[in-house]
Amino acid sequence: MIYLDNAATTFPKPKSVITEMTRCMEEYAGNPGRGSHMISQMAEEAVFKARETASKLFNVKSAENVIFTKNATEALCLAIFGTIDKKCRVITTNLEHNSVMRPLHRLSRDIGIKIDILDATKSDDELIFEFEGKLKSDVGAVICTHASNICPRVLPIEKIGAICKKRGVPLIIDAAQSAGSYNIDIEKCNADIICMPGHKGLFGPTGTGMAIFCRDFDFSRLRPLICGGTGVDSAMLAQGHTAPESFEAGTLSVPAISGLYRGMEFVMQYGTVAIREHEEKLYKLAKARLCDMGATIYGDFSSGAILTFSIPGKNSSELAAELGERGICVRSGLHCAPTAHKALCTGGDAVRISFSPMNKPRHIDALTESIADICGKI
Amino acid sequence: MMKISKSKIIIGGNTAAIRAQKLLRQSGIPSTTIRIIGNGERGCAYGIETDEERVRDAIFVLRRSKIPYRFI
Repeated sequence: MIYLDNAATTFPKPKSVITEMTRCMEEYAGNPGRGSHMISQMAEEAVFKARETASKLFNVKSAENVIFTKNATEALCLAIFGTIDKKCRVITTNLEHNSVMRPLHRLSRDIGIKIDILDATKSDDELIFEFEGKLKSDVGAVICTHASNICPRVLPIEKIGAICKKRGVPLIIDAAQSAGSYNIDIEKCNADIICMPGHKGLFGPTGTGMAIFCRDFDFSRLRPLICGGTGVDSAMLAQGHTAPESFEAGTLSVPAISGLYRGMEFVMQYGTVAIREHEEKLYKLAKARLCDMGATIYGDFSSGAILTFSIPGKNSSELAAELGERGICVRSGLHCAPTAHKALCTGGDAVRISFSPMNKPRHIDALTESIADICGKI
Repeated sequence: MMKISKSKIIIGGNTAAIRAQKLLRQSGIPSTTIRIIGNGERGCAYGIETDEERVRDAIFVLRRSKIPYRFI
């Protein structure tokens, strides 16, 4: 089996992730923050260690500024629904995933926010110029992806953050495709909130994600996404604003978070630069091979490592299914990013391949040989 | 043997309490994280317990690290 769908979730996970999750289930899978006995305390320590590691990785002030979620979508919903509560203008881009577009659409319907969608397929300079022009006094937030989930486009978030800071506009970044393969420093980005999955570039298990908050974030103005037990201030009916507990109602998945801790450790040992270089090398190799075969590559950008393509005369979803039958895992369709597909003129269906440090050049050989065979291009 | 009196300091959430305990340890102040049941009208909370004679030092570290606290 060859796995080339790492933009959906990375697979396989490092052995250390699996070992730690098993150890957790066997030795310390208690309910963190809910008791004073040994197993609860061990679970608490494990969760704290994961928060501390995340805070180091993203230069967050303290462990309290790391809120665990089930995935990037939940983190984005917490950030978006938790901070935007009145009619305003929100700036975003046309490369966003539905995890940004749908919450914004709901806010547009429910409270009448206006959404300005900027064209992120333009050059960095043109995009920054557009941001500068759009950031007027009625803008309540800027929400943008760091790296597209369908093409190798990485947005200049530090420059975007600098403008937002200058104009006093909160910035929320979707780092679903960049956390783990790019150095992301929340302070350098001038971001208020960065949302990410734990199960993609950070190599945790599915069911993990994080919203991380800047140094001076005022948690008293963040509305919890869900209400319920937190182990803190239990006599009060109000949910409270104690970070991070008030925003993580319900029992956390300690085995999953323990696995995420080992995943982040793997990223720190391997190094984000080495991960990115490895993935970009594979991207270039795959792109060259596919171009030789006459494939249409979507999005001609200079950074990133996500490759979306189609083969003229071949239905992309059929191609992905046929590759799947041969044990090659890729993803077709809209990739939950219809506006991005529209911007890149894919016609609404294309094949995406995405890499991880676990992939080797021979995986590209097998992929392109299979495509050639399926499409009769040998 | 003389028993050393202990003082309890309420921090709030368990994450902040664990961080407080680690910061105190780095400063050479022995402490343990504790779960405080009751906590007046608010209900459960987390905090730290330390030797009474080190409370002043502990407070200094908490203030320096901007960790909110209160006494029982």
